[in-house]
Amino acid sequence: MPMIQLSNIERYYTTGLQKTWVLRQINLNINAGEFVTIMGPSGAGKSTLLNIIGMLDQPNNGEFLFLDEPVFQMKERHRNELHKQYMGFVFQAYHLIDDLTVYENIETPLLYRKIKKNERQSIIAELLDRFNMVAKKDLFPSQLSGGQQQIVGVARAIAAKPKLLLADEPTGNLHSTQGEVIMDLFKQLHAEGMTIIQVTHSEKYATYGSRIIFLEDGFVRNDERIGS
Amino acid sequence: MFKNYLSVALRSFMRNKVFTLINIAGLAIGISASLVIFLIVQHEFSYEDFLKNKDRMYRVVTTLHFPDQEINNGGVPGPLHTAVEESVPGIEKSTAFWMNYQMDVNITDGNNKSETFKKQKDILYADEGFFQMIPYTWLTGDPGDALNAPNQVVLSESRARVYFPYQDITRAVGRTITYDDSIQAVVTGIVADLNEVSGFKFSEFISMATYLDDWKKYHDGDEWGSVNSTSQFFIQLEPGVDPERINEQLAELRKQHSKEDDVPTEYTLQPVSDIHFNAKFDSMSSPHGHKPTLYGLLVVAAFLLLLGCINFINLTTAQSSQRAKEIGVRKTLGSSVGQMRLQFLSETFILATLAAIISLSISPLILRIFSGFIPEGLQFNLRQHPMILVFVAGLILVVGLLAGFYPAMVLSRLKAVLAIKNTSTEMNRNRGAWVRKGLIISQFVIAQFFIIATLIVGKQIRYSLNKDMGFNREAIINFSAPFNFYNPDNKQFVLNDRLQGIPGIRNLSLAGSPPASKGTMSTTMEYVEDGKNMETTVEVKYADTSYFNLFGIRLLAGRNLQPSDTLKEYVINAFYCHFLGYDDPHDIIGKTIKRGDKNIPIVGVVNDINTKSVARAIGPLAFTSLRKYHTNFHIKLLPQGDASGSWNKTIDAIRAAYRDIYPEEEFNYSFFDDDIAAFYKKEQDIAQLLNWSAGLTIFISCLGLLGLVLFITTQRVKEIGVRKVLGASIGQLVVLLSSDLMKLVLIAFLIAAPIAWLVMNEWLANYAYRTDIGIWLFVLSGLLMFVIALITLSTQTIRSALVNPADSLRSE
Repeated sequence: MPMIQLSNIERYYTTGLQKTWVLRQINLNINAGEFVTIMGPSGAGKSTLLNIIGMLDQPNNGEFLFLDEPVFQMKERHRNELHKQYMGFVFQAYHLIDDLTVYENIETPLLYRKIKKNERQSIIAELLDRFNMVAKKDLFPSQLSGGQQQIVGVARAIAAKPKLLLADEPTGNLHSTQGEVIMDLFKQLHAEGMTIIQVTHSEKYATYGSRIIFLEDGFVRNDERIGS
Repeated sequence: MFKNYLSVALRSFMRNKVFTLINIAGLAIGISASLVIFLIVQHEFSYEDFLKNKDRMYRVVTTLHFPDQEINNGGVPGPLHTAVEESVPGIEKSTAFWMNYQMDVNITDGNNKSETFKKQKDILYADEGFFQMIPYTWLTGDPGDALNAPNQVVLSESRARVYFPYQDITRAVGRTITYDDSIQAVVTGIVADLNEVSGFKFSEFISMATYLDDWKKYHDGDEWGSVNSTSQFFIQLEPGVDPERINEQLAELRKQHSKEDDVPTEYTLQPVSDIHFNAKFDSMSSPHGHKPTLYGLLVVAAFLLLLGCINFINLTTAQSSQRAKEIGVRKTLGSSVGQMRLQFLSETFILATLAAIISLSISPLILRIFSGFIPEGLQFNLRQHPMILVFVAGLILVVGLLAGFYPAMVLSRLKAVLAIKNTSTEMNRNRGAWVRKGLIISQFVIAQFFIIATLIVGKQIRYSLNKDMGFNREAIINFSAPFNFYNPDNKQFVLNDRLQGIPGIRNLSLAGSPPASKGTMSTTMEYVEDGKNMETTVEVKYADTSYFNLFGIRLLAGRNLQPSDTLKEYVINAFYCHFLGYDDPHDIIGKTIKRGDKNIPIVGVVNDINTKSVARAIGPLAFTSLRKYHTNFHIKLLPQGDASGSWNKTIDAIRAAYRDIYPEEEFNYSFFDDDIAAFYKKEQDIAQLLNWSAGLTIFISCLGLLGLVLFITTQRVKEIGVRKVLGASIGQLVVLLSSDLMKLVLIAFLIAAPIAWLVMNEWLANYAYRTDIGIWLFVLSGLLMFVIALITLSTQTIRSALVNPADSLRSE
């Protein structure tokens, strides 16, 4: 059973009388444990696809089964639960909460999942340790470099142990050494069994994954598995 | 989770110090004002609440139906209470008491050393029923028999401590007190001071039997035809008895006891809870409350709170794009919409709580603002009023919901996917813009209304004070000689002679009350001519020969009054002359007015004068001379600075003369123009309240305006830079940035002006003589608001317009 089944997904915006197509006839199956990279030129619909998979956006047509459950037919509450239970997000612009410290940023998703305090503490301690951020745990995002912020972003995304990690150009704002650190992290996570879907412009970072989906003008032009 | 919200809230407050300050200041002002007003209103509405059977307790009051006037009296005729107690069933308890204005108290100790306490107030003659109905706490003595024999007195603890030096105040029992050098009473009990909001607060209770004979002799105490407002009668009905039935029985009693030529009179039950607010009937130991004023205060409190909340709503929603990222991120991290709402609401509550803490500390200051409305004995004291904390908690809840609900809805609805788009800073700019506009307009409608109202009330007060009342009031002082009704000593004439010799006095009159005064003496006069009988209520004033001259009242026809010890002749005012049908005052001279069986001639007609505040219309008035009742001195002083020296010197000389004649008395004088100004105390209070309300509403509204313009200018920094590069002048930019908000102020004026016009016309209708609301006043108030708003905006717009475009357009 694939984790994600998309059939005939279509997304468009209406401006005035004109329809602008973003996604067209997308049919995709993604299995648990895959590390998928979505590539394509600007405006190809990469982020929109990622947001639809992440249940942040809805298509105009088509069906989306997540673990065999039809996502868009379920109640919002239920969808929120699924989203909360299975997904973690990493953004290009990191999107840490400015008014929270490193520690508190990582803690936030755990709070929304009502995890007990001592358990939270041990999870965060472990993550800080793993990512070498222990000394920076009380700093605010503005006091960190971009690379460090993104590390916190990844730590926060995986804190609640999601099954699926969605990353929208996670290295887009980073220079190459910082980017590699992040990608190495992803590779590790994938090796540990996490399903990852990333959007990137970088050919090099695409090779970290197990499958590359190429979008153009909203269509899937190419879908290939790569050996690693 | 809450800790997470709390730290985000506090840190974002710290980061946006200006906005936080604006929000807190606005809310704190609203909360403080509400707090103080809550205290006032709660106090005023809690009168007699301590009486357990309040809903069954009534006062019997009297209404006299004169031909063209109804006179209400809080008292009853002397014999009524015994008659009711004997013949009306359904009454569980009753008490009658007589209130004294003031008495001199003398205490003699064992060594024959005596001490006098002059002019003691709150003294009653009460029957033994009093303490059955009013639950005083007894420190010593037996409530059952402390007042049931002559020459007994019960004291309140504080009063007993004034008279007696005992540490253990119960030792005062058995001591003798002498009242007004004639009545003696032995202390039979001490009660704790009544620490309740009540009109039943008195300090000395002399047994009624002590005074019964004198009461009958001097106060028509056994006459059904005489009513004195000091003679109070309270009853407590048995449960289930209909007060209407008692009213009917009172009417029956009246029928039995009235004489043929008596004025039709009605006795009715007045609920105890009605006494404090019903100004028709006299109050007891506390002044009347005024419900419309309280409602006015409540409206002011509501407005101030509302304005503070509006600021919060506007600033929060305007800044929503700055919070958008956080909202989006939190949603992707698993927050539900409900949790987002909760977060933003809790932020509002934190802010409201901060504001409440601040307002608790500035409340004593606000208390001073409302000093004219603060009932006596009301203090801002948390220990004394623990209810304050409950009320504040309630206010935080209300403010939190009112201010927080809409922003929480707007913010939590933001779509995560839009909020976290990598280039999303410009989004949501216009979200809720029309709501914000509407709210700003309503803020300025309120502020504008208060400005207009303030100007109109101020104008009416100036008009009232400056209106020609028909007499002179400058450089005139008044004082009265002590007067003993039972035993006139005629010493005032001696003083009058002494005063004649003092330089610095231009003119001197020994007469009755001044042309305009608080008290009124009225009587029914009958004018008979050609079989036509015209009966009307006429105000009467006592005057001597120099009275008209001193006050500049002009004789239109006839001659001045001649000194007289008996009722000999009248000088009437032009109004009465016209009322009786004479257009030419000369024609009425020599005609007579029927008083009892005598015909009193009209010897002169003077111009009309206002004998009261200008709220009252001029009515019929008659002057006469009745020398034994002339105890008021009116003295016109020579202008300061000439040979006679200063007014102070003259007044010192008058005081010396007064103290010579009345060594025991204090000399109290007042300037006549001050007395007239005091007529408008209520208006002055309203004006003060309006001034502050206008000031505070403008302040809060402008704070909000400032916050918004701050926000708008930051948001439009790039646009300003571009326009500047394209050649816009500073002036053009300022206009560009201000015009949107100034338009709202203008719309607010257009809405507020007609509302204010209607409301203030209604208010002015209470005045018989009133100023007119000119167009210029509206123009002025609108300009005032406009200028204030413009200055507020300019502080920010000019600064933004001056920014060097090279800085604002630098790309990051």
